[in-house]
Amino acid sequence: MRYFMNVRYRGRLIPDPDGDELENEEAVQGHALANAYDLVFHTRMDSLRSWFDCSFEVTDESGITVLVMPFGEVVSET
Amino acid sequence: MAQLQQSSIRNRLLASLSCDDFALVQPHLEAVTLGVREHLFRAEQKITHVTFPEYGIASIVADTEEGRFEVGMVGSEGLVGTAVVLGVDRTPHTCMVQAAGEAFRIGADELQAAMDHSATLRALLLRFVHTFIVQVSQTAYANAGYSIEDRLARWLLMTHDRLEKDDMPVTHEFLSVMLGTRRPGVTLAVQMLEGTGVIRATRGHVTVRDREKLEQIAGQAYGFAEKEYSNVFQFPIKRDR
Repeated sequence: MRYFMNVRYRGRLIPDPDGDELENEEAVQGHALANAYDLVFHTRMDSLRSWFDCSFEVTDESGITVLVMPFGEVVSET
Repeated sequence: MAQLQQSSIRNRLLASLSCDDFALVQPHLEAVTLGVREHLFRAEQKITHVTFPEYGIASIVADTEEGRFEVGMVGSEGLVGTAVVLGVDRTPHTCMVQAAGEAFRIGADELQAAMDHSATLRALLLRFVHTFIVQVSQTAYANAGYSIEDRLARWLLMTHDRLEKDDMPVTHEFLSVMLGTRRPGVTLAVQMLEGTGVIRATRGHVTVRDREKLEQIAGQAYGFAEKEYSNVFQFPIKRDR
């Protein structure tokens, strides 16, 4: 199943055009967390005020939102 | 088959050889096509051929447990298989075609024999190896000190130099390998660059709209390696269109 890792940044939705092939919705959670972790801790981005202003809004192939995850969750998990 | 004429060759290194040096390698040159994602050599396996792209781009990528990322790129300005020029027959890196094209290739043993025969041939190819080391060093510098937007701008400029067209076939997935960054980070960076008007992004394509501004965004991450190439060879990586 293909899941789209759309990002919400300060009200604006940045759609994921490609998506990732993941087994099921359970895998989506771990995938989103791993992505957010790498972005927050390893990626410098000039145009964002803070990665913590971002959240994933993951949709499936039919466009249904299956997960909303603020990037701040990487801190609460560690 | 008609004999290959040096004047009909686009590859900058082959085209720059003296007549005598070209005559040494010419009998061994084989025309090949470069298919997207085709491997030109694989990590720790014998490099059987050295490839001189005519069109298209090859990427040298590091394969790690955490994923793949690009460490260098080569188009018609250079050759693929620098290890062979240095007398080594394998490397820990992998080389795959990033943009389809055409090339001439020569067996690693044949090239080695030709270099043993001609000091000027070896010297010319070593000069390219030097410029490639500078490029790879600049990649390390960009990765250490620059944001994802700057690095994306640099990569787009380097690809633009070698493809000679504004419309470049690239997916975000591919960019994430090239930049060693998670795909959502690439998607955001593409959006941000598009927002400034320097590129236009459609699914699977990026079009350069304002190269000058793209160079401003890339800053010092882009330009050093390109200048060094011009200094060494007396012609630029980017051809006049």
